[in-house]
Amino acid sequence: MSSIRPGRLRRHTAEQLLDGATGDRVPGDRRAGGEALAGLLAAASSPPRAAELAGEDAAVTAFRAEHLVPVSQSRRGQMIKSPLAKILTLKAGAMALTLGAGGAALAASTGAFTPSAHGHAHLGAASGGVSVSQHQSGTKAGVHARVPAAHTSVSGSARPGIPAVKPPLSAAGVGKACRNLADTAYATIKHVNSSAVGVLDVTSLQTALDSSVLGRVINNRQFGSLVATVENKENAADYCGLILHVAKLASPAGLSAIPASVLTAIPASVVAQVPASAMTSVPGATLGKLPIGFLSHLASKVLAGLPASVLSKLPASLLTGLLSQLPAGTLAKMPVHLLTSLLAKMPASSVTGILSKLPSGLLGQVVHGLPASLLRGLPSSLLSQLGIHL
Amino acid sequence: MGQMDRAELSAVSAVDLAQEPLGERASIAGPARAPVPDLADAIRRAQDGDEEAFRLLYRDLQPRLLRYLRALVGDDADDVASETWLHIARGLSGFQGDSDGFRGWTATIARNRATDHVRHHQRRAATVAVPVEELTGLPASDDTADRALEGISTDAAIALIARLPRDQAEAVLLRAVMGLDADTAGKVLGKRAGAVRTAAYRGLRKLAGILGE
Repeated sequence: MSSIRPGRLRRHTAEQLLDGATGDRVPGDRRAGGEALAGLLAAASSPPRAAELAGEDAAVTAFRAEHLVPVSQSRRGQMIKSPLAKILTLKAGAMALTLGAGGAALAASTGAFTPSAHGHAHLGAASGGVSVSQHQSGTKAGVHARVPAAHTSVSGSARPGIPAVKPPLSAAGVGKACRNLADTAYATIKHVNSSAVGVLDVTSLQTALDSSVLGRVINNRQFGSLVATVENKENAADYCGLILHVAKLASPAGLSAIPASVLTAIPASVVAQVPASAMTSVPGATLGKLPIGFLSHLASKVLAGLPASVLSKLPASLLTGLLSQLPAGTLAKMPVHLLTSLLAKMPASSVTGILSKLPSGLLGQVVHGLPASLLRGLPSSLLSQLGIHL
Repeated sequence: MGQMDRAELSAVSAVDLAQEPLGERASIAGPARAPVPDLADAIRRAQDGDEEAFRLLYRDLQPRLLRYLRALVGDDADDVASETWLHIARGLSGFQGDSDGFRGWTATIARNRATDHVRHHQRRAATVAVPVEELTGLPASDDTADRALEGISTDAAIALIARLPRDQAEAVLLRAVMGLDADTAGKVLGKRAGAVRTAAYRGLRKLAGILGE
């Protein structure tokens, strides 16, 4: 195509190309590279791909919530005035949307995850439904074929195998229910009417979720759907803590009981904001049970904030998976001593792959901190390159 | 479309028709492009609470929004698209307008969400730099053109468009991917239709140059 002269593209041809999305034939203005452009624009506006529609059920859940919520409840949301509260609500909403997706997928076994969710099964504590939906998530991620829009018919209304109790909550419903739960608990603690509570700040939310009152409040029938969504009452505090963006998790040990599908469905941007303090209180054994997809979303500062005692409790298999999934940029930002101590626990075969992702400056520092026993397992070419002679 | 624009456009096309030999105007069948269906019926049913109608809207619009957002926020497009749908679901019942207006409305929401997202994170996601030679490899002979053009993946195409100056990238994506006319795209961008046409034209010319290198 050396004959293409960019300047020759005509405005009219450009207009036709831009409008080409309405027809299946595109004009060819060969001298001006019309064919190449047509191909480019066709690729850009190709029919939907399965992965692009992964959030359908989550969106539908939000839609359902908006059309089923009683007027009194939606008004309550509009009364929130402070900017902080607005941000919190928005975040909780966005998060609930994704969390809801996980919940829906779990319940219906037909759902799909957002593409940001890594469906790596790594949880033993959750129910059988988890493995089903994770398997599906893996399948979906693997599909790359172009499918016509009409082909993708995910049935969200079918919920086989779910007992006829309270249905899992909708996306927006989860956020509302959690807020409602915290409000009610807080009002009970303060011995006031829940309507007098107003919008709880983070400290009050924390107080509410931490309190023993919560265990009683959640028995109220109005929270039946919330309990169904989080699978059992004990999970509610942590689930809501995550959704409502409360820094400290009420009972960190319960984190591993939250379905893996729910944790992995949390957007990376939200997980990255989880403060280190929230994770340091999580027992190592619990961390060890968390899905890698969730852990790898934790920013390096969070990982770096974990005390060595916690890290040392993580199983080597988890560490390997975790570090292997971290992008090179994140690895490069981790403190040398942390990387060294993590790598020291891993088999040499896995270490080599991770080392290959490190920038040379950091690589030298890290390798020199590794125990000789591990170094002996590394390729000699790498060692000689670093000037190490055993 | 304003009257000036229409006049300008028809003047340009008249010149083109006069100058272009007939043989060169023959159309070729390109790779399948997603048609831009009229969503008016689905919009109305979704506003009445019809879930299936909402799914139809999602399936048509989500891939377009996602690709548009890819150019605005890079890897965070999925998250911003999720937020966008939360807002669409929330504001749907209050929407008034036709199918084109609806596409424009959703694009505006997506754009606003992206702006907020970027502001919040104080960064514009680095656009994915894909070497041009990986995107093209266009053949010299015409009979293999279709096959080669099929070879450009959607992601690579979006990444290439995202390398354009922001106003040009947005103009191209809103028109070719979102399926908006210049007038509606102008409303999304807060510009006149003519300015959108010019930006899209410059963008395409630049793309043609890159593809021809």
